[in-house]
Amino acid sequence: MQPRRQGLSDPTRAYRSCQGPLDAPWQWCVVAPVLFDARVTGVVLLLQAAAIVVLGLALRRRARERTSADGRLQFERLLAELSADLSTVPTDRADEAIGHWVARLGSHFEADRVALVQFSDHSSRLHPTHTSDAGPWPPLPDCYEAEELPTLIGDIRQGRVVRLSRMADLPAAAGADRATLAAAGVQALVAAPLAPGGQPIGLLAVMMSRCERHWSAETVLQLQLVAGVMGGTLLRRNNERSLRSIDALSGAVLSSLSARVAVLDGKGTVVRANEAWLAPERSNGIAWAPVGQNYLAVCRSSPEHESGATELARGIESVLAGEQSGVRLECSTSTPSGEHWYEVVAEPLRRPTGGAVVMLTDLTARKRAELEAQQHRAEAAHAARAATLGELAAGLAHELAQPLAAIMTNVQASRRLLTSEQPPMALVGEILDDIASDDVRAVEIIRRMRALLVKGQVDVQPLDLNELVGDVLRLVASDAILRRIRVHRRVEPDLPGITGDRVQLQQVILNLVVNGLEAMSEMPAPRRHLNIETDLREDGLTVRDHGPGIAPDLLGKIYEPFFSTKSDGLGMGLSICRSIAEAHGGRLRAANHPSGGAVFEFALPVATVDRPPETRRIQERRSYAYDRSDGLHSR
Amino acid sequence: MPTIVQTVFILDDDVSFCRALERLLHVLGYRVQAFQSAFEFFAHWSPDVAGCLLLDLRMPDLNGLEVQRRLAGLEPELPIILVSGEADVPSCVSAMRGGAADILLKPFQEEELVAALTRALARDHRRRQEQAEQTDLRTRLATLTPRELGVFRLVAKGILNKQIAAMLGTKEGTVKMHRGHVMRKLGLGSVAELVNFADRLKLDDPCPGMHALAGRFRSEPATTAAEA
Repeated sequence: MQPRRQGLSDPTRAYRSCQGPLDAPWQWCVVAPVLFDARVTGVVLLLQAAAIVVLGLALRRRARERTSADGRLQFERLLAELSADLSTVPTDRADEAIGHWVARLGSHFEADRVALVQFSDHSSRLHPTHTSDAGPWPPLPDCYEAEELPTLIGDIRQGRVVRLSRMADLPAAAGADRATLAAAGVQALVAAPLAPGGQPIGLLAVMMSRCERHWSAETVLQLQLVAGVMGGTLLRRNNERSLRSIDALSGAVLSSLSARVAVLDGKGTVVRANEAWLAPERSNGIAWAPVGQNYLAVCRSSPEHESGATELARGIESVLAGEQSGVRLECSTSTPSGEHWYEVVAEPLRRPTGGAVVMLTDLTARKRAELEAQQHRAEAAHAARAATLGELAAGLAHELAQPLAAIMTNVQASRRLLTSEQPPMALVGEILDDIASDDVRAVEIIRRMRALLVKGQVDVQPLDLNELVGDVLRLVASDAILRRIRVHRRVEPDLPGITGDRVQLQQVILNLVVNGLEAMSEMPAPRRHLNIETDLREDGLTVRDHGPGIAPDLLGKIYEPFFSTKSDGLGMGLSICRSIAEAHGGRLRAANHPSGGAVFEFALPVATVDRPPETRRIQERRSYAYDRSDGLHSR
Repeated sequence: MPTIVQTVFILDDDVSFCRALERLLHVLGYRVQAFQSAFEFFAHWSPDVAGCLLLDLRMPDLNGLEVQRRLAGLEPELPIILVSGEADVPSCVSAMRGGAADILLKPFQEEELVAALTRALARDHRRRQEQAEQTDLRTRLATLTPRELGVFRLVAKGILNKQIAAMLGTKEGTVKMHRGHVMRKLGLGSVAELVNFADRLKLDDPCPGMHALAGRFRSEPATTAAEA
């Protein structure tokens, strides 16, 4: 239906047109015939009566028209007030205001009930959110299912006004609607859709419960106008509410994170942070900045370099500059309450103005558990190794006792023989031969023992020394952090390939690195640096620590089995390392650096290109090494 | 230098050590016989040969402790010096319990070896002497008649002739006569010598059946049995 806009937009003209009939000259003719004779008088009286009737009708019509004009004026005022009020009301008070205006509409329309019904966001339900009742009518339920009012909802959703002067106006098919409306005590109803921006979000209904009512076109029009204003308000309120709920959700997500999270803008200033971040007592020594301060500046001005603040600042900078798609680093701090480990993740903020999200996760508990587990593993491994070595040593002791006892006994016998007057030199010579062969036997036993400690079969394959170094450094990374040692790796990218057993060579490198780390445990923090380098020179791999170095008189002994300067050392590490190095055709050398600390140089022969890599038994190499070292006996 | 000819047996599977030890003991003046396996040793060894055994604890076929166990059942017992390559406490303990004379740890000094050998040989010498004495005493005791043996037993316990007569159900004169025979046959001069003879004779029960008899006259038969 078409709203009659023009009539309402110019109410004064309508009013003027109502006054028109009172000024007309023919009205005076009704009074005139009273002055003439009786016959005429009868006719005149009749005419007068007719005129009175006509006048009465005119007056009634005028009165009615005046009422209608007053009603229009009243509505104009109401609409103005409604628009002014609802357009300025803050969204948190919008519901209250709408409730107030729904009540005002009830009295304006002289209706028994006015209800504002909203569709729910995700289902087909309807919720009467605001109602105004002019009497004790049965209350409306909290919600209606779409199936309860299919016809009505269908019309509303299509933007049509539903006008029912009586229930009988409902089409015969709308049985469900009829039953639902009857249950609510509705006798007449007019409903306009709330469809701001063309999207139906609900309806505004005016209902009669006492009687049926004819809804004038003007009433419908007014209702539509009011519904338009209210719909706009509701839309504004809903939008703001959902914005606020998104904001509240992100705030809740942030504060529910146990990690400490800060959002930085493009320059590194903290623009938002969660509760955990904002609690400075939880910073545990790591750089911290409140909202509004520049976090990068705080990191850079951090006094100590130990907690990795400089590194952190560099990482965040690169993320802010877009050089990196994310930075992740681990750092540790030491506070009066103990050691703390953090994982710092900086991710770029995906928005046009840039920025970054910095997240600090406390790894202390996990790290401690990890270190403990690692320690247990190391202890268990040590115990297992010690037990194996113990067995080996017991076997070795018995094995060695035989030739040693024979040598000793032979020596004693020959000493006796030589003190006699005519020493039987032939016999003494025989004894010396026996002593020599027992010595060979003893050497062989020791060699066998060492061979047992180095794995039996090896898998020789082409390897990249730099890769092995990387593997080993990954293994010891947390150990180094725990010991507060900085490991500096410098690798030669164009290193020629080598061949060997991956596990054994890793074992050698690991041994050298761990020895270096352990050597620095007593050193002051600034000296705790371990350098590991690969280069093209003859010594492929160099491991240098800044510990106390090796005492000059011990330099020759460190490769001996069971020689150890550590209280809990087995003294097998370097001995095995050297065996492995030799088995690979390489060599292991130890020296003291002129400026302090020990240097271990591990050299391996370069793999020849023309020969394909093959799997050999290290046993072959070992026997070769043995054959070559016959000179040992005469030493 | 031992006076009686004693042999030092060596049982060690290590040929070189065996040979060295044999040489040294030869130089030191011992009579030596070396074996490399327990079977070889048992095949050649006889209990009559005096001496001692230097026994290696760890041997492949029959280990030292087992050899010791086998020898333990034989008379006269051969003193054993265990030679071990390591101080294996449980083995040493069981060797000592099994009656080993000594334990030497390889490699050992000459002095240790000589001291251990001297002790072991002296022990063997003493044992052999004791054994010879026992044989002598038993031979002499065997000349007595059962009746005389009974009288000997009771006299050795310090029982008076009159009581002996009552116990054996004879006259005191008869007991005296038997006692005279005993003294003469065993070549004893006094009661004290007789008691000494009975003491040296380490017989469990020189007069079987006498307990019950003695029990009739003694208030404590259990004590009698124990003393016997």
